[in-house]
This record gives sequence, structure tokens and C-alpha cells, in this order.
Amino acid sequence: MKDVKAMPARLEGFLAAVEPGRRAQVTSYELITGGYSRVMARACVVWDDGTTETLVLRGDPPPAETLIDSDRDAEWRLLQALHATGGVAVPEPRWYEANGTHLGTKCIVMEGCPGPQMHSTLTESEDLRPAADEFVDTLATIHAVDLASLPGEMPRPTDWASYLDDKIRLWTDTEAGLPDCNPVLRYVAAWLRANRPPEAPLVLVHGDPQPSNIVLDERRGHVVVDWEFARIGDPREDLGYYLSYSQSVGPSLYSFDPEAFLARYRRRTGLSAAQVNQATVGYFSLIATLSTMATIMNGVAAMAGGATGGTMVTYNINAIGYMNSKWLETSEALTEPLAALRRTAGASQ
Amino acid sequence: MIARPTTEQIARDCARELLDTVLPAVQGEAAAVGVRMLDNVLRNIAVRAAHEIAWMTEETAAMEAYARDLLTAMPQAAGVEEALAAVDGAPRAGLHLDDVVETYTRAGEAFALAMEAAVEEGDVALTRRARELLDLRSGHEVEAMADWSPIGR
Repeated sequence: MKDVKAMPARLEGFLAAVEPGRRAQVTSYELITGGYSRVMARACVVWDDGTTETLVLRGDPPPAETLIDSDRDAEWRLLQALHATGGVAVPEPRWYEANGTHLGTKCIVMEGCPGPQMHSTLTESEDLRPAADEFVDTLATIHAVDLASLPGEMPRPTDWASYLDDKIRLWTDTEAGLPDCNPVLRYVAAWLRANRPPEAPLVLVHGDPQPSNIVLDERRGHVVVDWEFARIGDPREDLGYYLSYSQSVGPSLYSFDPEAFLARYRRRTGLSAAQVNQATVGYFSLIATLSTMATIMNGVAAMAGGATGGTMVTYNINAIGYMNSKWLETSEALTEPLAALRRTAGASQ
Repeated sequence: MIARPTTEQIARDCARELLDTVLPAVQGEAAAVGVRMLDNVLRNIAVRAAHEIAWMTEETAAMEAYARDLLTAMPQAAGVEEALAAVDGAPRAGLHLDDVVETYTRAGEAFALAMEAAVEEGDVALTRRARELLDLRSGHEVEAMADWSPIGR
């Protein structure tokens, strides 16, 4: 997919195979930069009846360049289901190459959405409230998707408690794969077990909700892209993920007025103040950050074992120290607010 | 053994050379980012060379003492006794880095098991003491970061 000279002909071959009744000419093909996990490209196509369209290709990187693994088959099935249901606006999924015959990798081919990424329209100086409100509404819309409409292959957690147990277990499993003991990971796992928030209904979560994954379409409003990490989980995972993400990539639609952000989310979802508040979102921000850090930690572990090397891996050792510090700071700050929630819940029973 | 300039001084001088001499001659943003990352790595090395054996030795003693105190308070704590036996068998005679790291790792495991037991049992005092040890460890990690920031992303 990265060979921009060869890909137009390959894409024409693919389109001839999936649309045997007509012919397409690819007039441009360019890689889309900015994503870290998948290879993305945009292609302009002219069909033999004179119509034109822009397509976006989303495939897997070569195995040696894969930083984060995810399942293209599952993403394709989910995109189809969401598009058919219509609750959340997504790019129209057009075709899928499951075996890489023409395009060199498993590849989703979808419509190229017109309009800017939401992130590119945000600036620190302007009033962020309208954008924050719309972002909250989009999150609530995702979380309201009927689970029965999702692909049957999508894993269904049996219950909230065991789902959270699995999330916490990722911390100890990650630590077990490191060449050295990391007591901070072990502490945070123990802390997460001891400070569980109130239960919330399991919903469809996006897994990477951020304004860069929202295209502003004049007709459809927010079109949500990049569903590779979507799963059925706790809705506060998306809120916690965004809290954590927006602390390093601003402007944050959450942090300028967290209470307003969460109040609107509660109104849109019907969840209670005990379920959705700054403490529970903070709890899930801890849960969310490990997924990214696990990749970095695995790279550092591979280097210690002599399997890999390079400046980036060495440089990222610092990220582990940085996150260890942040995790300790966050867990300390949340201990009392979460204890207060438990006391309140206990008093009301 | 030529002790001075120290390893820390040598690494810092290499970092200065990289920024003052090499970086201005580098063409292309990607290569320039790579040089800046190497500068940071060299400064990481400088801090670690200066302090890591002392820090690990200090933390090892504190973690081992914590695990032994917890075992006294909670003799049933899973795995702590065995982990402390592994610490007893660690190569502690010298200060060669591999030996210090091995001992530090074994002490870390004993400490982690003990700390997990303290949190699970809701022992406030032992949990607080564990947090202080984690803060000590984290403080050393932050110092070794040498003003790291996520450049190049």
C-alpha cells in the first residue's frame, strides 16, 4: 500500500474485480499521514461513465512495522453494521479485500469523507463549549448503539465485574512480560482492584475517541472514523481515554470545564452522577493509558532481550518513567474521591 | 582505571558535541529529530552512570526491609517468604552492574508481592509506606529522564 507508484494500477485491478461491470481509472493516490497504527491512503477515481469519487484505503502495515495489532476483519464487519444501523455516522464501507491479492494487505476501502477533521478546527483561543457539546453528543450517540445490531462475532463480556477484572489483569500481565519487576504497575493493579467505581452498563466503546477521528461533514455532522479499537465495554473508558489523550494533545474539550462536559454526558445517556464524575473518569483514564504504554514496554523488553534496538526504543524508556510518575500521582489524587463515592453508596443502601 | 573525566562528564560532552557540531550540519527534519533524541539518550546515560548503582542499592535495602516487615505482620502473605529467599541468594558481594541489577530485581519482586498483600488487606500504614517507596523509585526515574519530552511525535 505504501508504494504510491504501483498502487494506482493495483487499485484499478481491485476495482475491476469487485465491480466487473464497469472500469475505473485511478487519477491520484497519496498516503495519509498522522496515523500511527494503520496504513491509510486517499485515491481519486474516475469511472467509465464519467462519475468521480474519492476513496480512502485502510490496511495493515508490514509485520515488521506493526506497532499496535488490531483485526481488520472485525473492523470491516463493525463498519458495515454501524453504516446499516445509521445511529452513528461512519464513512460508507464500499469494499473489502480480505486476502491482499491486489492491494498487498487486508484492506478496507471506504468513501472519502469531505470535510475537515474536527481537531483541525479547534484552537485554544476560541470558545470551546460548542465543540465540547457536540463531542459529548457524539460520544453519547456511540454509547447508545443497540448492541444487538453489532456483529455476532464481536466479543460480549459476560458481566461488568469480570470485564473490569480483565482490564486490571492487563496491568499484571504486562508487568509479567517485562525483564525487570515494575512495582508501580503491580501497585496500580492492586489499587484499581481496591478502588472499583460504581458499575455502569456495558456499551459500544470507540476505543480511540478524539477530535482527530471525527470528520465534520456538512450533511451528516460528525462522521466517526478509525474503529479498530472498538469493543463492548464500559462507556467511561472512552471518557477516560479522551481525558488522558487531551492532556498531551490539546486543546482539551474536557479540561476547560469538566463538570459541564460530564453533566451534558449524563443528560445524554441517563447515567447517574455516582457513575459519571471526575473520579470515575479519572479511574478509567488509568485503565486507558496502559494499552499504549504496554506497546512501549514490550519494545523496551524486547531490547533488553536483544531482540530489537534503535534510538526510538531507547528514547521511549523515558516514557515508562514518565507514566509511572503520572500513574502514582493520579491514583493518589483519586483515592479519597472514590472512597467518598463508596461511602455515599453504602449510606444509601 | 582513568576515573576523571567521569562517565557522566564524557556522556554530557558527547551530548554537547552532538547538539553544537552535528545537529547544525544535519539536513532533514527526521534526521534532526533523531539527533535530538540521541542527545536525550546520552543525557539519560550520564545521569544513570552517575547514580544508578547508588539508587538501586538504596532502594534494594528499603524494599527488602519492607518485605521482611510485612512478612512479620502478615506471615500468610502469598509468595513473600519465597521471594525474600531469592533475595538472600542474590549476587550481593560486589558492585558490578549486572549483580546490582539482579539483586534489585529480586528485591523488587519481594516488595511488589508484599505491597500487593498490604493493599489487598487494606493495611493503611503499610500501604502508605509502600507508596513512599514507590515515590522514591519514581523520583529516581524522573531524575534519569533528563528533561525528556515527547519530541518527534
